[in-house]
Amino acid sequence: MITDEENNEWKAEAPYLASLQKENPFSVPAQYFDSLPDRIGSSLYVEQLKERLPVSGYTVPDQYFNNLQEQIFAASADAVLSALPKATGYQTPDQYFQKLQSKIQARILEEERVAPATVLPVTKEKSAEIFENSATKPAETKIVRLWHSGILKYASAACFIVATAFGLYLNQQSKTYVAPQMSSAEIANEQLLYDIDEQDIMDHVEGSIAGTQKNAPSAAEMETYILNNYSQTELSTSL
Amino acid sequence: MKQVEDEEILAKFSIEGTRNEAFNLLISKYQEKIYWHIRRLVIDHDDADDLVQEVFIKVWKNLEKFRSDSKLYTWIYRIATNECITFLNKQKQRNQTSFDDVSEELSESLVASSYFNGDKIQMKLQQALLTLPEKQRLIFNMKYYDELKYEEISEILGTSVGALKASFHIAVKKIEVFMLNEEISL
Repeated sequence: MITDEENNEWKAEAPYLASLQKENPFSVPAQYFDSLPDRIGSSLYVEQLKERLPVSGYTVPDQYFNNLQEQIFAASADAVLSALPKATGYQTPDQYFQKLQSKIQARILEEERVAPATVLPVTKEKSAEIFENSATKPAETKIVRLWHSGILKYASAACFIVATAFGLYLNQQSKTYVAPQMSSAEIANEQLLYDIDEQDIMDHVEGSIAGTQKNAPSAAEMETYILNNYSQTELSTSL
Repeated sequence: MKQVEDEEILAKFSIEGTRNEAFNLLISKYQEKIYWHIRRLVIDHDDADDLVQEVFIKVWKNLEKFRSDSKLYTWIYRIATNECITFLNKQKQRNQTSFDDVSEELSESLVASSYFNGDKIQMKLQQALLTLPEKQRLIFNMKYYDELKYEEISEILGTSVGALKASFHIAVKKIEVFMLNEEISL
């Protein structure tokens, strides 16, 4: 009864759902439940077998599975590369390799002729040969004439001489001493200085020194100033 | 009679010579109930087939430890429920999907399934169920289809009777709204 109440009390809240036929819309393959116990038994047997024999008995080399992926990739890359045609696709001119050797030899001879010491290691025989060649065959250096005509040569020399002389003249002028023009007032003062007696000058100098000494504060005044403006602590730290 | 049968099964199972016989009796008695409980949750027949085998393997391994403080049926039911929840969670993790996406996958499986014989309304009802949260769907199935008592469901799920009642009523209302809206749109 309680179950009936429990199973029916919701129907008032959901009349449409309550009106629907309570069906099982799902289906199973034919004779599924007939064979299910056997299949469960087989699964159980396999499970027990796994528990009894956890290790297969086979072993693999160290780090085998760690390196396996890399080996597979390398092998597959190798397979892909092997499948590619060997030809690079590049071409050379006709008779290239046949002519190449003679080209190389000709170039070596040319370089020997131009700079023999740096191109080839020189033996005694070789050096003698080179000396003979250099002695008999003057170097074919190109000569470039500096002065095309005699007039130009003499004109250049004349210009150089004039420029040098002018420069010397200017230098001479700058070195001459010129006494400064003194003013008349300055001349008069200078004369007065010559007329003043030496004793008067000495007295004047001593008097100025005494004046400065008069203006200096006395020891008592200094002591008073210090006591008024500095504390005992400051004095003791400074000492 | 039912009670005697469970006791007989347990007694035979405790004797090594009759253990296999007891186990076969147990499978014969509970395989359909457990299968349909699983099937309504995972939808797909092949998934349900795998899970029902897993459940009975666990029953075999743990039946010796079973204490008769609960019914054998609710104990097996609990194992089946846990296996379904684990399966659905693994599906979410495997596909990195949320609950909503798993429900959508199950709905697609439902539509594509060759082992579905229901009419349009039954299809809509199953789709309505798939919109419910997992536990709510569980409770609805056990109450509506299996007609289990709230106390039995409480034993299986470890949830209080009050919470179960509330959850079931909420599920019923949601399904009612879903079904009526679908009717109006038609």
